Amino acid sequence: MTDQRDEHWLRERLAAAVPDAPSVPGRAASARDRRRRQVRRTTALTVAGAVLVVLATVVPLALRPPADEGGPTTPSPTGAQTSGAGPDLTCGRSNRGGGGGVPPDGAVAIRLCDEPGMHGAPAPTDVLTSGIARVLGSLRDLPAATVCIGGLGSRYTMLVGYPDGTVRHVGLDMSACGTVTIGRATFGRPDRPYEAFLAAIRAQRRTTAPPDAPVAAPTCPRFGGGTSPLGEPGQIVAARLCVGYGEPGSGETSVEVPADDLDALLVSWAADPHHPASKGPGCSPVTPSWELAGVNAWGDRVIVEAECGVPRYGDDEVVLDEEAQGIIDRLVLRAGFPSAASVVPGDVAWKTAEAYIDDVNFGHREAAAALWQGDPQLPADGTVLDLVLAPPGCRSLTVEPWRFAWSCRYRAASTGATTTFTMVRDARDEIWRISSVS
Amino acid sequence: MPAVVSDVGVSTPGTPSFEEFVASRGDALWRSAWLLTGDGHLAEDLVQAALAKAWPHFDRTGPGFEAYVRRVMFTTYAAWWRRRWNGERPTAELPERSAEVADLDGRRDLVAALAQLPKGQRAVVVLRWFEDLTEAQAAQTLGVSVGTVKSQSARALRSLRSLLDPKEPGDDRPA
Repeated sequence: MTDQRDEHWLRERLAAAVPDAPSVPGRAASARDRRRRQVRRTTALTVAGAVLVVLATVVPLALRPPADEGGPTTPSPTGAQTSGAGPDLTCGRSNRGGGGGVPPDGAVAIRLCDEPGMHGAPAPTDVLTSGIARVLGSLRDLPAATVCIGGLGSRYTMLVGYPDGTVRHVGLDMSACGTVTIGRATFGRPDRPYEAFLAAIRAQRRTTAPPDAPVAAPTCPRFGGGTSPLGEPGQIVAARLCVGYGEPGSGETSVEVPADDLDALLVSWAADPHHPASKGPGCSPVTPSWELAGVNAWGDRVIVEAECGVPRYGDDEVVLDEEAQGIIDRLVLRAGFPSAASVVPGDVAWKTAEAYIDDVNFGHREAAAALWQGDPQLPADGTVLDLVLAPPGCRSLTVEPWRFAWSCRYRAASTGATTTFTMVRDARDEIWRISSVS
Repeated sequence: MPAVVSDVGVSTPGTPSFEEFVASRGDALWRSAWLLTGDGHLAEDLVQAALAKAWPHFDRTGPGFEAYVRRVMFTTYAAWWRRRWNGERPTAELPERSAEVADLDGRRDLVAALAQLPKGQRAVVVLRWFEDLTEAQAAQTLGVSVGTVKSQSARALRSLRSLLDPKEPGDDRPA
């Protein structure tokens, strides 16, 4: 039995198992409505939201290398630009396009820039000034591009600078089958120049010191922004703790990690033998998850996720010591987690139960009551619902020929006792509300 | 300052509108989402969440919009399952949806097996063997190293092999 044979078998099985997509005629309109609701919620945020917006604007500027301070440049119509003071490798929208063939030898600097809207692995911020020949060599003898529809992947522009100020542009599109765009020609295998560039940056860093400029904690990654392939958790020099991040409707909170606390966290991270990440048993809703959004001295972004409070990075997970766990708990509280959970039309039924559990546990009783259909039956003030969704999860119940409800079974993590939430709604544009808890 | 969301839906000749894009590619997105969530209702929710996030960028991303939506969808999936209920989720089908499936048992087996995988492995499985991405492309999408994709792929294959096909070599799988 070979992996190749397994892959073929799995590919066929996946393709055969996927059902036909249901007819959803209003899908585009629903998505736009959902976006508008999200925007309305966002604009209702107060000072904390404003602070995040300011950070989102200021921090990327602070992370830019000195070469960026001159602002965006405008390339010539051929895509090459010249100046009298050497190449200006500023990243920006003007990186698009470009002309000429494969960049010739003689370049003195190369930089990789994220394309606008790119949320994958971020490009390094440093400019490559050694090992350039090997990177340029990787652009030669590339195979022809393969045409694919759709696909996923990051997009970068590689800027190649020459002593006379000329800058040549090479597009690296890692989506679909992947393309390298040089002038008007398109080739395949963008991974070759990308990996060659990363290897050269790694080698360069072994003989140079990081920038002197202080490194600011990054903002929380939006849409699961990627980790740099050049970063490691042990190298983090500044970080932000993002709590409850990514949960639709729960809002986002974060707090910058003080230097002393960060040191203690990293010591604990290094001290614990890393364990292979495994599927956990689920956790109580009172255990908030968090992300440590860090940056190393080179400006590489490093994201450490903590599912159910257990931090993971790549294939490893780590059990923090008592001091480090205390720091995390304190920072989570300082971040203000959680805000009252909310549910919007279009959310699945079990999100109502989830929001209710959160709201009860953190004292948002009005919000919890609003999730009931009819008279709310809230538990006594101060009650902690130590509940996790239990197999078989949620089941749909037909209550009338044209109407159904969702019944979700939970168990108490501490006692094993079960509780069943039943959710109903009167129309598709309403949220699911709790009709009973038993 | 209040944020402003403008309507996108007007197309110029030769350029699909947002509605046209969703009409032509929405089902393909849904199928990937179904493999991630194992549930039609959640899959639709995931697709719409991704479309809602990506919609403001429709004009700017041009032909790359589908790739952008897919990235948002996978990262949104990761974020949703980050917080809790790791591996435990609703299992029932909506009653109004038909269960006319040629191989319902096989589908259930596959959903159950995928649900046993950590979310990272599950995403890698969908990217590598349903979306047919290379290891490097999958790594780029998920923001992890190629080595991580390789190890996650190997673990996922091992797990799926034992969960879906406990038989010994020499079985009836295609060679």
